[in-house]
Amino acid sequence: MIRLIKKYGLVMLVFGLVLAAVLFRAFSWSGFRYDASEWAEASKDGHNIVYFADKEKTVENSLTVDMGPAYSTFDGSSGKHIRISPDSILAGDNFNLIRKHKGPVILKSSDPAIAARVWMIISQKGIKNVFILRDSADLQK
Amino acid sequence: MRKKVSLFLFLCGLLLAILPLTGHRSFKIRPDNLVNQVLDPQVNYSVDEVAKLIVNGDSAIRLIDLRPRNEFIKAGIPGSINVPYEQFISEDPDIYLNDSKIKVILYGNDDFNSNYALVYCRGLGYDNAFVMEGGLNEWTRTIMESRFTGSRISARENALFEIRARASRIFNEINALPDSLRAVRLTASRFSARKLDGGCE
Repeated sequence: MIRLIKKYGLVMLVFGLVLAAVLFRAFSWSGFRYDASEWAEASKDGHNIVYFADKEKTVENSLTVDMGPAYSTFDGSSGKHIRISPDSILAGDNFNLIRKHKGPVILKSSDPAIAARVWMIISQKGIKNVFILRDSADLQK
Repeated sequence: MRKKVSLFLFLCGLLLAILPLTGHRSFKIRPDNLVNQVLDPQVNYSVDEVAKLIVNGDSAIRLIDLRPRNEFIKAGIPGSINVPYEQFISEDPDIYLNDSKIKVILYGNDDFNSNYALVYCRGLGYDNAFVMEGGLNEWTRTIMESRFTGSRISARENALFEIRARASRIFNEINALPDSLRAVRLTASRFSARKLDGGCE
């Protein structure tokens, strides 16, 4: 065994390092690794939007992420609610909460631009089932 | 021999590590950096700022209208090019953003598609992508329907309303023309706007 290590030590070391790099790249949550176009797909046809009136998607196991002043008209769902500032959405604990949540994640902000930006960032991190809560009154503006 | 085997394995491993990059386009910049970039107010252009750029015939900007083709044909901001959002996301954005000296301002009807596209571009490393706040809906409210209702107008307000009126006039003139004549008319209006610039304050 020792002889083998002596003989192929360098090869094994190099291979081990490359393998570690590949595995890190494949499973690391520290960066973006998905196809940008593919993970933006849901935004093309508006499948990532839920309306106040549409309660079908705001089911019991949803996680509502409030990123600003609460909507006064939001009568909510029985799911979980948390408040996260948009600039700390990817901070360790906050992002883990979103990533580990089993069920739809609903982003809520009074500023649609912020909601849209955060949606794209979270989606590109590989989180599916993320929606933006939109007041139907926005459509009439 | 050992060195050759090592080199071979190293190259194989390197190839494995690089393969995912060549297979698709993924965001290049660090997530925290991207968050900071897209939440920075400097990525936003107000409709008044865009109106001023249009009136001045600024050639260092490119407006991209992300609305569907049929909506763009009806009316679009003068000088803008139409790339429907679905197409924009599917294509390589380098086509539109390759010149870092040109500021690319994205807009749609509202704030959704333009802001998705903003993050998409910035994530892929294009720092010259910006967004027009409120989209064409805000443009219509602020520029096209702009009316001064007060009794006295300050110099600053006067300048603002003058810009709005000129932008509105260009918008109406351009959109009243057939498609084939729009580009020609726009070039002419830029030329005449430049001739009028300057003089005493």
